[in-house]
Amino acid sequence: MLGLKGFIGPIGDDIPSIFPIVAGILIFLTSMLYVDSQFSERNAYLETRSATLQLSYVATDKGFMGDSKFLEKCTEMKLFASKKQLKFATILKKYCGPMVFSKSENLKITKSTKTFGLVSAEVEDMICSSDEKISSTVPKDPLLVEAISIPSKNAILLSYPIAVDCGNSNRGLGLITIAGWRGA
Amino acid sequence: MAKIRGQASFFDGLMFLFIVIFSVSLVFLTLNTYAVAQDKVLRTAYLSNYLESSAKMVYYLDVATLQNVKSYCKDTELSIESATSYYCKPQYDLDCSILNKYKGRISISDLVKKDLDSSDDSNPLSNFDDKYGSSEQYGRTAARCAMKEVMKPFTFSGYRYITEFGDASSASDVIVHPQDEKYASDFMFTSTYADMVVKDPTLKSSLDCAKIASDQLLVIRTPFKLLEVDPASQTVKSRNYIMRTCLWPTNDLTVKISS
Repeated sequence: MLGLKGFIGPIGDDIPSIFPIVAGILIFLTSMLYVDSQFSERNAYLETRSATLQLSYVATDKGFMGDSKFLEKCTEMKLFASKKQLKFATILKKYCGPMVFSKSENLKITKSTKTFGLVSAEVEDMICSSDEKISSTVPKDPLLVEAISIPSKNAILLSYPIAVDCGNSNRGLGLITIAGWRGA
Repeated sequence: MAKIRGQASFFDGLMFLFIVIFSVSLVFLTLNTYAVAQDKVLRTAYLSNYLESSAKMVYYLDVATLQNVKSYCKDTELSIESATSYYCKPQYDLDCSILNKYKGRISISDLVKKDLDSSDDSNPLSNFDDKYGSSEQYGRTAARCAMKEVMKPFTFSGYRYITEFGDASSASDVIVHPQDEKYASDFMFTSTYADMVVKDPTLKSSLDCAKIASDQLLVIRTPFKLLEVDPASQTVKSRNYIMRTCLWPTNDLTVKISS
């Protein structure tokens, strides 16, 4: 008996080592699951960003975007986005003067009167989207309108300056904003 | 012996835990840097496309539509009180309202070409000074107003830009410098520029993209052709100008200028 002092059986002797082993396995599995989700999330982000950037190349191939050109581009963009499995909204803001670089402002579809010298013209912002609900947005008075809501919090937003049709053959400052997202 | 065996197995368990923690740390280190370079490349591609869009826009934008563009001073005086003294130095004043004298479809590039050109054939590339011979042609003002408005998001978020025009006929670009400090840029508002001019006043009118020593400098260079028809001989002469825009991040203190 004296020789077996502290001996609590062939399994019982290994009980203390089971705790660090179980802890190690748990840490390893949890970390792997977390890391895998992070890798997937980052890959998805990169793919969405890359696809949105490519879509922006389609939209900004010229320095001027007239109304009829925008409608043509809209068809091209829808085709391109469907190939890339990307959902998008493209907004053509016609500032025709000083621009406002704020996300909420650039997602508003407004109509307003622009005056150059003695001549005035009513201009309307334009929108193109793969989402029917967004593309059917009607331009409203700037004071009454709310920014359109992009149905994904992970949407990539890219804005570019572009010359736009400001009525009476004037070409003024505009901003084309491209929002791209997946899922939702 | 049994007691020693129990301690050995516990040690094995601890070693296993240690190896797991070490491996997990390595995986997290990899995760930390994963996709950072790719993201940076995509963001740079966006900036590059933004600059290209600004350059393309210059060919189409009617000068008259820029008449309501405010100066940096007026843009900041209501919203950023501390920036007022910084952006309201009189030597860099910008008055876009003078562009209302242009009616119809006159683009910025039309006016810039006129401004860069000279009525004197012996010295074709004259100056970037809002003049064609003795007549006032506000090409420089139009370029300054357009670029000021378009580059506004960069100016107020830690970037600086310079847009410049020059002759690309020879092997290296010859930039036409303004003789005063009215660049198509926001760089003159920086303390770096002020320090640079104090040290070497000759740099005052020779600032260009080539002097910006930033490892994140982004440059786009756009051809800018001028065709001249001689009515007498019915011949067409062409001059190759360029428009060059540089963009770089700065905190004004770290950017270095090589003279």
